Amino acid sequence: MSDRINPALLAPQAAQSPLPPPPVVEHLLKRSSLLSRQLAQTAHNSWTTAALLPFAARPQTWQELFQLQQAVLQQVGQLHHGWTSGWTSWLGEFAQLKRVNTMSKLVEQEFNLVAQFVLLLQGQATDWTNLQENIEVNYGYWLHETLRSPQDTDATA
Amino acid sequence: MAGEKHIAVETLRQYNVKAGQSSVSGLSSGAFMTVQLHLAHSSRFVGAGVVAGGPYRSAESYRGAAPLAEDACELTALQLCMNPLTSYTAPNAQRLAELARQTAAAGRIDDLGHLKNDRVYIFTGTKDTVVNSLVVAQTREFYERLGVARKNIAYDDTVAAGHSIITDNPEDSPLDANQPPYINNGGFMQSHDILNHIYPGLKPAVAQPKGRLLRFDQTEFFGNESRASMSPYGYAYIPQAVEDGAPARVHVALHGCKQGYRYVDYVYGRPDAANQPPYGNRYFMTTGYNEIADSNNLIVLYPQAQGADGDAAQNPDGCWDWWGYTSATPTQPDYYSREAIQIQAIHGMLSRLGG
Repeated sequence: MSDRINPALLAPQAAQSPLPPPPVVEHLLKRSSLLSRQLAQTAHNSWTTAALLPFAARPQTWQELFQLQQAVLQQVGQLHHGWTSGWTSWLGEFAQLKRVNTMSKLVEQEFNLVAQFVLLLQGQATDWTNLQENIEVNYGYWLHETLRSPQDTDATA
Repeated sequence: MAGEKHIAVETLRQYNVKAGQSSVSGLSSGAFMTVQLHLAHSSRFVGAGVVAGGPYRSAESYRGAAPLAEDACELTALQLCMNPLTSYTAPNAQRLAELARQTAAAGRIDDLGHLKNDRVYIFTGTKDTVVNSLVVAQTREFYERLGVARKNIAYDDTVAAGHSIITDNPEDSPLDANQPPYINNGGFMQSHDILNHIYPGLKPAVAQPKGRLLRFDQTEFFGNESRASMSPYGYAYIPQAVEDGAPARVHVALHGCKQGYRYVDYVYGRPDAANQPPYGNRYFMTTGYNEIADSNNLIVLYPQAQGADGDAAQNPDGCWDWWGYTSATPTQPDYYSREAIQIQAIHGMLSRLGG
C-alpha cells in the first residue's frame, strides 16, 4: 500500500483551517497593527482637539490643559533623573573594573557591562514608549470628558 | 522522609462558618479584585479592605483608548487607573457607580442594597508611585455613591508609604519603597487595621498562632483552564478552635502582582525559573492576617494567581484580573461579573468553606 497521501483528500480540510503565518510574519503584522493603532489614536486626538474651540473661552479648559502639561513635564523630569543616575552608575562601574586573574572572568565582566548597557537602553525605550502611551490616553480621555455635555452621565459611552 | 505519611495537598472542606459574614481585602491588583468580588457577591460579604486599588470596572473608563475593547481596557488600566496625569483624567466614580447599578440591574452581580451596612477600609500611601492616590480617592467616592455610609468607611491617605501592604516586620522593605515584594515595614500591621475596621471589637492578635496553614488544590475551582492564570495550590489559615468545630467567619486575602507563591521574574521576556525570588510565601505567612485570625476564629483564605505571558493570558506579573486578560471574548471582556473565571473560582472556595 502506498504511503503517499492523496492531496484531494487533504484539500477540504486545508481550506477549512488555513495555516497560520510564520511567527516572524505574525510578529511584523502585530507590530504594524500596533503602530497603526497608535498613529490613528494620535490623529484622532489631533482632529478632536479642533472641537475644543467652543470651550476656548472657558478658563477651566486652559487651567486643566496647563495642569496636564505640568504633569507631563514632571514625568519627563522623573525619567531624566532615572536615566542620568542609571548611566552615571554604569560609567562608574566601567571605570572601576574589578581585578581579574583569568580570561574567563574578564570575558564575563565585559559581557556583564554590555548586558547592563543594553538593559539601560531597553529601559529607556520602554519608559519613553510608556510615557507616549500615557500622554495619548490621558489627553484623549480628557478631550472625551471635556467634550461630553455636562448632563450626559451615560456610563457605557 | 521515607515511610512517613504526610498529606501535602488537601481538598478544601466545609467548617462551621456563619454564611453571609465574610469579608475580603487585597493590595494593588488584589485590591481591584477585592472591589470586584465585593460587588459581584455582596450578599456574602460584610466588608472589604482596599489597599491601593481603584473603583469597579474602572478599566472601562475610556473605550476610545483603542479599537478593540480588550486593548482599550488594558491601556486604560495602565494609564488612567494607575497613572492618571491629573485628577481630571482619573476614573470617574460617579459614572462607574452608575455602571455598577446597570450591571446589577442586568443580574450579573448581586443586588447593591447588600452594601448598605458594609464596612470598608481604603488606604493609599502618599509615596505610592504605582497606583496613584487620585485613583484610590475615587474608590471612596464610588462606595459612598453606592450607599455605603461615610461613617463606615475608614479612609487613610496620610501615611508616607510606597506601594505596599504595611507590616511591623523588621526584615521588610522601608516604608516609602515601591518595589517587590511590596511588603513594607511601617511599624504596624495593616491587616489588623483592616480586620478591626470590618469586624469591630476583635480580640488582639496572638504572638504565636496555634492553627495550621492548609495547602489545597485550587484547580478544581477553575477547571485547570490556562486563561484563569491561577496557581495549582491555594492556602487557608484554619485556627485550632475552628478545626475543632467552633463557629467561624471567613476573610479572603488577595495578594498583589508579583506576590503569589509561584511568581517568577521575567528576564528578557523569559521566565527566570532558575532564580525564583524567595518571597513567594510571604504574603500568606508574614502579613499578620493569621495572628489576628487565630484569636478571633477567622479562616483566612489565600487564593493564588500566577504569571502567564502567552496567547491564553498576558499576565507576566501574576496579577489578579481587573482589566480583562482572562476573558474568553476580547470584544466584550468579562472580569467583573459572577461569571468571570477568577471570581467564580474564589466564590467556589468561599462557598466550600461555608461562607
